[in-house]
Amino acid sequence: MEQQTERSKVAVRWLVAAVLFAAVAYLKRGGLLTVPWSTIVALTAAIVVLNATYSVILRTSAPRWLKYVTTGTDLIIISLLVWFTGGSGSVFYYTYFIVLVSNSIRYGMPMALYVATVYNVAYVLVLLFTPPSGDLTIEAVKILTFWGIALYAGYLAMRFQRQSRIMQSYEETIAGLRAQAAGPKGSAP
Amino acid sequence: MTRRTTHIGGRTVRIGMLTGGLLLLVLIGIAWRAESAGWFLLFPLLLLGLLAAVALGVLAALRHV
Repeated sequence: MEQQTERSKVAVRWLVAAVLFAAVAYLKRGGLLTVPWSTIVALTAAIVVLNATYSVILRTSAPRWLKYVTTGTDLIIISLLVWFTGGSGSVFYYTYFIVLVSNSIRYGMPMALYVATVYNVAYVLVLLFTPPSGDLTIEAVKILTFWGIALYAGYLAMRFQRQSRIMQSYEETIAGLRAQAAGPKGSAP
Repeated sequence: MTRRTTHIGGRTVRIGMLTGGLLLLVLIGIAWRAESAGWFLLFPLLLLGLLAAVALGVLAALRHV
């Protein structure tokens, strides 16, 4: 199950990386970003190497730690992108939400808390390296809003997982009752 | 088959709620007055503590603990 989930994340990561690369290249060509091409290429190469490595690992199995590593590296690369494209004012800030929603819905509350914690630490580091010109309260509200969304997404995923388990047990009960009602062949008088 | 329930005393619940209130005040204080973004690194601890306190309060109100 986890192997399939991580494989689909690999596919989504290729797509998101391509869209982000196109967006960065477009903004750079228009003179809206000052980030050097070497940085853009280095970030893209990092995503490509990491995603290819995950693909190779997932051919055989999905270790339990892999989901935390893939999510962590995704958040770190997004933080680097945010840092190089203007820090708190970066247009790529909202990319964090792709990772949050994608992982919280798939893995539930523990992953939502993990994503929010890693985001919190990574984004604070971005803020420390590129201090925002405005009031820091706005940044605090942004971080707390992210936490709010993470907790809500985690809660919804938890409810969905519980309902799935209930549904599965109903299906098993119905299958058992059907088998009982049919009875062994040839036993009827 | 019966499930064992851990009972938490009223005093513990009161201390938990008080701690939760204190954490909320610290959280608001940091968000409002922080001079450095480094203070925001405390958010995960404060928020999780606050959530634990709220959960304890809700469970106590519903007589589940």
